[in-house]
Amino acid sequence: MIIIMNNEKFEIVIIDDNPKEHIHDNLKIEYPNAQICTFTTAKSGADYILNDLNKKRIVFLDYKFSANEMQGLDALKAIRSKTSLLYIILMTAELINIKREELMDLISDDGISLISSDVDSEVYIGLVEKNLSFMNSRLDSVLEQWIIDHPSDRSKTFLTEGTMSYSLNDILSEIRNQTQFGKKIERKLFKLIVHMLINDK
Amino acid sequence: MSDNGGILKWRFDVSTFRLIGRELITDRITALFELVKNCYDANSQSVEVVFENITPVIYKNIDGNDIIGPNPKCKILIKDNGYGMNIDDVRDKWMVIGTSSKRKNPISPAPYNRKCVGEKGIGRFAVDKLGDHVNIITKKINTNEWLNVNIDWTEYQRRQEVDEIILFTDIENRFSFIEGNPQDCGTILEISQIREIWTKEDVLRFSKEASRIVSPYITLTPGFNISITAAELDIRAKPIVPEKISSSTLDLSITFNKQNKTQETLIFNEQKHTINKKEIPIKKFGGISLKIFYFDENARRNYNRIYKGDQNKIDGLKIYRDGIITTPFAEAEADQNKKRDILGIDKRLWQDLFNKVSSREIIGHLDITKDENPLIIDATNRQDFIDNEEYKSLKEFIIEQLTAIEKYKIYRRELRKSNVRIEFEKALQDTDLFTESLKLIIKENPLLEPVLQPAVEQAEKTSSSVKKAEKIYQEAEKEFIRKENIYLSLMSLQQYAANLAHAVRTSLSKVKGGAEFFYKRYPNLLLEDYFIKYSKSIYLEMKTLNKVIDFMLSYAKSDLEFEDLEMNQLIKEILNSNEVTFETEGIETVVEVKDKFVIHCNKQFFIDILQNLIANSVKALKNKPYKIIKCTAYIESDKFVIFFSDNGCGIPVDKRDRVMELYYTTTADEGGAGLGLYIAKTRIESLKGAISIIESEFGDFGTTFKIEFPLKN
Repeated sequence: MIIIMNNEKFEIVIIDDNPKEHIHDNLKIEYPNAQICTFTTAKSGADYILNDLNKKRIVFLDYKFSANEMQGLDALKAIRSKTSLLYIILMTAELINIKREELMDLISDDGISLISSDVDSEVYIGLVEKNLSFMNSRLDSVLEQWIIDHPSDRSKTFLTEGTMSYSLNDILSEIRNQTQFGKKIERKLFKLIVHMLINDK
Repeated sequence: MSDNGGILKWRFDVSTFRLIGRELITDRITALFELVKNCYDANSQSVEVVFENITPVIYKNIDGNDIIGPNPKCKILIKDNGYGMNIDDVRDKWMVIGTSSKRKNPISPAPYNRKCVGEKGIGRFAVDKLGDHVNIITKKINTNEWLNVNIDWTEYQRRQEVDEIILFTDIENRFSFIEGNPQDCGTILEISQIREIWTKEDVLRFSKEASRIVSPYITLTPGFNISITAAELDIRAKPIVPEKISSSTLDLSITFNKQNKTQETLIFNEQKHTINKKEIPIKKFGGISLKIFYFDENARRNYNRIYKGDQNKIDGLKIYRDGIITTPFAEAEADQNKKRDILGIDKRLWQDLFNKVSSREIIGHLDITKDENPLIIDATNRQDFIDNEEYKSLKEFIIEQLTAIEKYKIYRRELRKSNVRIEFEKALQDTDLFTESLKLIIKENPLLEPVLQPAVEQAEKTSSSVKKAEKIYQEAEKEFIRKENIYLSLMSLQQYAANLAHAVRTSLSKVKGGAEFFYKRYPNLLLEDYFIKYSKSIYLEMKTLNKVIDFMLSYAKSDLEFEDLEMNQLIKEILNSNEVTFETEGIETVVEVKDKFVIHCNKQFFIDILQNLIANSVKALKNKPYKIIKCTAYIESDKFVIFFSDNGCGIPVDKRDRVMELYYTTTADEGGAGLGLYIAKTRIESLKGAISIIESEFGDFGTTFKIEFPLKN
C-alpha cells in the first residue's frame, strides 16, 4: 500500500451496526494521529456529531440499520439540516438496491461519497485523502489554522454586528454550524478574496 | 420587444444528468405522466397531450438494412393553462439539477392551493427521456410576451462526437420572446426528436395511468381535465376520465360522520355470513372514506375478459388526498410484481397465501383530506407517508377492513367445499335408493327381472363410480393441503434466502477485508497483533459461513412433508438427544407437557426450533453456577403454546427486539454467530407461529421465550 502516513489531527467517526474491523484498523494505521470514534446506531452517531460541529471530521456512515431504527439516510438528513460542511462516506452492502427516490436525495449533495462496503482499502483511504486536502483549503480550515498559528488573535473581537461581537473563534464556530451569520460572513470573505484578486492586491 | 432574446446555460454536468436521470425515470409512460402532474402543480385546469406524426418510419442504416424507428417529425406536445414560467424560473429552477421549489413549497400558489403531486425537480429528466429537443413556450398572466426557450441535447452530442472538448455547461440554449395576449398564461412543452416509437398500446397505457390522477369518487373544484390527441391513431381530444369499477364480487364503502365523530368500519357477520358496517369513534388519523371492490376468482376472470389487452388491472389500493392521487404515484410499472407495497397488504401473503386478500384481488380508493387527516404527512420522497403513530394506525385500519373480506373469502371457500361434499353424498344416496327400489320391484315382480337387471347393474356401477369419485375428491383435497404446506415453506424460504444472501455478503466482506490486510501489509512486525486478530477473524467468519450454508442445505435435505406429531414425546426426544451436553455442562432439564396431543406439522422444522433454543440457552448458562432449562407446553383455546426458559444471563430489555435478527448476537464470546434464534424464528413463522420474549419465569434471571402455533393449522 503506497500511502504516506498522514500526521494530520482530525476525527473519523464510524457509524455502523455491524462494524468492519478492517476499515477501522486500516484508518488507524494510515492516520495514527486521527481520533476514531465508533457508534453502532445511526442515532447515537448523529447525536454525537450534532453535539459538536466545531470538529474537523470525516464520517463513515452505514446505509442500512435495523428495520425499526434510524437509517443512514435519516442520520445524513439530520446532519445536513445543521451543516453542509461535514464530509460523509456512505457505505452500503447493496449498492444496486438503493431506491431511486433515495438516490434523488443524494444527488444534490456534494459532500457525500457512496461506496460499497467491500471496496478495497485504497478507495476509502483515497476518499479520506481527497477530503483532507479539500477540508484544508476550505475557509473554516484556513481560519482554524490561522487561529492555531496566531493564538493571541483567538479571543480578540474582530467583528461586531448589531449588539453582537465576534472573535475569530466565534466566527469559526458560526461558519461550521452554518448559521445565517456564518453563511453571510463566509460569502463576504469569499467576495473580498475575489475582489482583492481582481484588483491585484 | 419580440426580437429580444439571449442565451441560457445549464448549471450541471450532463453525464451526471444522464446517469441519474435515466435511473430516476425508468420509462416513457412515467416520463410523460410526470410532465402532466407538473401541469396540475402549476394550477392548470386543463392539459392537452398531443402526439404528432406518431407512425414510425422505415429507413436504411449505414449497412443498408431496413430499420424501423420514430418519424423524425414526431412530436409530443404538453399544453397547459397553468401559471407559466418567466425567464428566472427557467434559469434558476428548470436548468438547475437537484433543486426543487416543490420541496420548499409543497402547496401550489393561491387561489388553488393544490397539494403538489409531481416529483421534485424531475421534469427535465422526463423531457430528456422522451426526446432530444424541447421548446419551452411559456407565459405568466399579465405579461405581454411568451418566452420561448430552445433546448437541444443533440448539440452537445454532436460536438462531442467530433472530439471537441466541451463542458455541458458551455452549451448555449437560445431563448426569445414572442408577443402575446396579457390574459393568456400557461406552458407548452414541444418535445421533438423523439427517442422511441410510440404505439397505440403505449398511448392507451399512458391514458390509463393518467386517468388515475383524480379520484373517481371526488369532484375537484376547480377541475383538472386531461385530454389526448393522436390523429393518426384516430384519437382526437379524447378526455381522460377516471373509470368507475364494475363486475366485482363485493362493492364495499365506508365513510365517517364529522358531527358525530364516528367512523364506519367493516365487519364480517359470522351468523349471516355478510359484511356489515359498524360505527366506531373516529381514529387518531382522522375520518376517512374508503371504497373497496373485491374480486373472487370468477369476477377476476370476468374483469380480465372485459379489459382484455387493456391497461386496467386489479392492482390494489390507491390513496387520494383532496381528490388527487397521493400514493402510489401512478406508477407506470406494467409488471405488478415490481409495484410497491407501501401499505403492507401483500407482505402478509406469505403468512397465509390462500386466505389473505392480496392487492391483485382488490381495487381500492382511500380518500383522505388535508383538513381531516393533517397528521398523515407525505414523506420527503413523497412515495409514502411519514411513519408516525397516525399512519401506523391508518395502515392497521386498512388491514382490518381487508380482514373482514378475508373472513368472507374463507367462508365462501369452505361453503364451496362442503357443497361438493354434500352433493357427493346426495348422489350416492340417490343411486343407492334407486338400486334398492329396482331390487324391490324385481322382488315383488320376478318376471321383470330380465328387463330390470341391466338397470340394477348399471345403477350399482354408477354408485361405485360416485364412491370412487368421492374418494378421488378427498385425496385431491388432501393433496391440495399438502401442496399448500409446501408452498408456505417455500414462501418463507424466499424471505430468508434474501436475508441469507445479505448475511453471506457481510461475512465475505469481512473475510475479504482481513485477507486484503494480510495481502497488502504482510510482513510487518509492528502489525503482528493485527495479523493474529485477522487470521482468527477469517477463521471464525468461515465457520459462520459454513453454518449458514448448512442451514440452507437443511432445506434441500429436510422433508417438507407435514405429519402428525405427538408433542409430549417429540419434545422429550429432542431434549434427550442433548443429554450429553446437559450432563457435561451440568444443566438440569424440566419438561412439562400437559396432556397428550398431536400436532400436524413438519418434524424437521420443529426439531430445528427447539435445537436452536437449546443451543442458545446452553451459551447463556455458561457462567452460571446452577443451570436450568425448562420447557412447558399446553393447549390454550385455539393455540398450542410452548414456554422455553433458562436461568442464564438473560437478554436486556432494549435488545429483545433485535436478538432474533440475523447476525445479531449477545453471546459472541461463547461463539454465538447470531444465527440460532434467527433460524428458530423463521422456522416458527413458516409454521404460521409466533415467538416472543416475555418476562423470565425465573424472575431476575434468565430468559423465557413464548412460542405460539395456531391449532387449526
